[in-house]
Amino acid sequence: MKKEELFEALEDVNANDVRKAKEYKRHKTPVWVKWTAVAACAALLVAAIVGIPALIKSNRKQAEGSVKTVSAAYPAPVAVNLSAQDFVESDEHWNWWNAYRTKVQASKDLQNGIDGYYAAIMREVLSSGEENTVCSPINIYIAFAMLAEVSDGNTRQQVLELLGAPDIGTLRSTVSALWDGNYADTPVFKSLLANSLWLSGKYRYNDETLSRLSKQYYASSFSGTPGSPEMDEVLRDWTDKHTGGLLHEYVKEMKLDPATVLEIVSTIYYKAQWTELFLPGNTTQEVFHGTTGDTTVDMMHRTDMLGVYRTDTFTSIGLNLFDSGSMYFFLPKEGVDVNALAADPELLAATRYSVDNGKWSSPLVRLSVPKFKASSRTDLLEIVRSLGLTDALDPALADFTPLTTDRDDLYLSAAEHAATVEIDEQGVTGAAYTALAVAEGASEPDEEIDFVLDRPFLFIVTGRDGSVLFSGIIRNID
Amino acid sequence: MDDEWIVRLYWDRNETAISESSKKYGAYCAAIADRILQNRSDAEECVNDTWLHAWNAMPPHMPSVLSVFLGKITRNLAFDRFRKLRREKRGGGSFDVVLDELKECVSGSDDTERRWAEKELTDEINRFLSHLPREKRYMFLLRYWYADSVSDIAERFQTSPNNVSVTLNRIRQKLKRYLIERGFDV
Repeated sequence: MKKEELFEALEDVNANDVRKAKEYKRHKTPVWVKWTAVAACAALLVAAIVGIPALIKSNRKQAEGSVKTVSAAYPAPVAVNLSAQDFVESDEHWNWWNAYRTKVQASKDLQNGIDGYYAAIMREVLSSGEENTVCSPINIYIAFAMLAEVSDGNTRQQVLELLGAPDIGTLRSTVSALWDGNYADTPVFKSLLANSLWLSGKYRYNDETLSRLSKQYYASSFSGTPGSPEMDEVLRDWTDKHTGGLLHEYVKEMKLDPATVLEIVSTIYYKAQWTELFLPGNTTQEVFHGTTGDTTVDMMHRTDMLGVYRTDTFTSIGLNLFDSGSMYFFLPKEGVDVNALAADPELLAATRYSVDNGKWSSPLVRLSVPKFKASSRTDLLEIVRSLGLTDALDPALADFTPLTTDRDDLYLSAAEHAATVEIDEQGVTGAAYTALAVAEGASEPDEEIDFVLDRPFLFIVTGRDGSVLFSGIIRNID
Repeated sequence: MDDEWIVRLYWDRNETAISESSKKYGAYCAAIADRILQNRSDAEECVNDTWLHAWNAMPPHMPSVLSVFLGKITRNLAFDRFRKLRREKRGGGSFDVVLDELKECVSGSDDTERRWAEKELTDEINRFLSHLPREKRYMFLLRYWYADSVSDIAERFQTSPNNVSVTLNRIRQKLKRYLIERGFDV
């Protein structure tokens, strides 16, 4: 290539950047005034495997009160001593980004294999009556992958089928790639996954299984007396810490059943910033037409050229999150029930840009998004049963021999999932920071549309690799 | 007059469009041409040609950023003229330095078989730029889109010319690696 060609190729770079470059003057005040929470989410899944209490006849004793801990080694945070502003301007950001990009690519290639699971779990968890529903498909996936590790035979086979994995080896490499592609801890973007095992001092566990869970799933283990106040406190502290305190309303009620042989607690904490911020000055009070009536909400506004996906049942747009994936909003067409969207076969297609089926367009969008915080807790036992996971729930059929052979009456007694998602434009002062603005060529907008989320809608938050991190239906906003 | 109106004048085939463009963006376009050509009268001709090209381009075009749309035409015309002058062994000077800096990102050979469309290259450069911190992105565009001088850029960023040179140098190295990694036979 000749230098002249490069000079010419530069001609068509993003016109907005070219304009902004000329208007720009460095100011004394930093643009990233502080780390602003724009999308903060957390989720946890608790899966308990217990023995049938009436049959307990073990003599081994564990001193009340002591909890033995083996912490897993998590990847170290990046550039802890830099502010968000300094970090994004530094080479450390570039270096981190380059390394992360490779990991994301590996995980991206595996998403097709997981789409069936994502669709099923969203369909089952999100449909409901009047309440908002939120879940974290990736969190549920990782927790159930750990369940596959401690089970065997048909019990394991059913878990593999639920997760869409042909065999345990594939599941292991998938989880490993998912983990790498979604674990980030930088001054501007956090996506923290964590796992833990809660064990009873009364039993002998299979070392090989525990060691695999510790290494491959980064699971910390805690051994003590299930049911003791001490162990419950450690459990709540650990869970609060790994969900950033966002799920405290549910975490404060957590306790271990005295019959617990193993409890798996898996968490995700996520915090990212819009690449194009909403200006607080643009936020207005508007009416949201919820399923239980109208409420007044803080509506954020922005006008931008955005990728829009349109089907007969919904219109959706995606907003990019800095260094991470996107948040997609799905507005049902008039007359379409928002619950039906949860089962819509095209839901995931709208989050995968590569799908070119004539349903995409790039109009100028006058966007109105309400600020909201939604949390929900879901009992997953019946849901996974309906998805074919039956043996694990039956003490006579369940096979948890890779965990322990001390007892043969173990079964999955509880699977509870809680998630929360909060979005806002908070804390942003001055000019908007543009970093990953989608510069899809320089095609001119051929139409303009309004996209106003003032009635029930569905959302999906994806990781950079396309993983479905969070999803929910907002029916009402208080 | 705001840009939307100027664009509308072009669409309405109203010749006021040209005088309004010239009033609002004449200096902006002249600066671009001047930095490339280093010659006032050559630059002025480019700017006059810009309005004619704009007149022919709108319609069908409806630019969202009029300044950049016009600037792009000027940049193009000036660059064409620069090449013509160079063939005639005239011109050169500080714009040659800008081009030589870009040379660091490419091999300079023109015998490599082109296996990509120009659009793909532009898309990758866009992606590369979008991952740069904002200030570095702007610095790069000021230098290689507008052909601004290093000292002007330094003033705008309240830093030293040396700092700007070092930063630009790093960006060029990164761009080169980036393009090679993506299979561009640079």
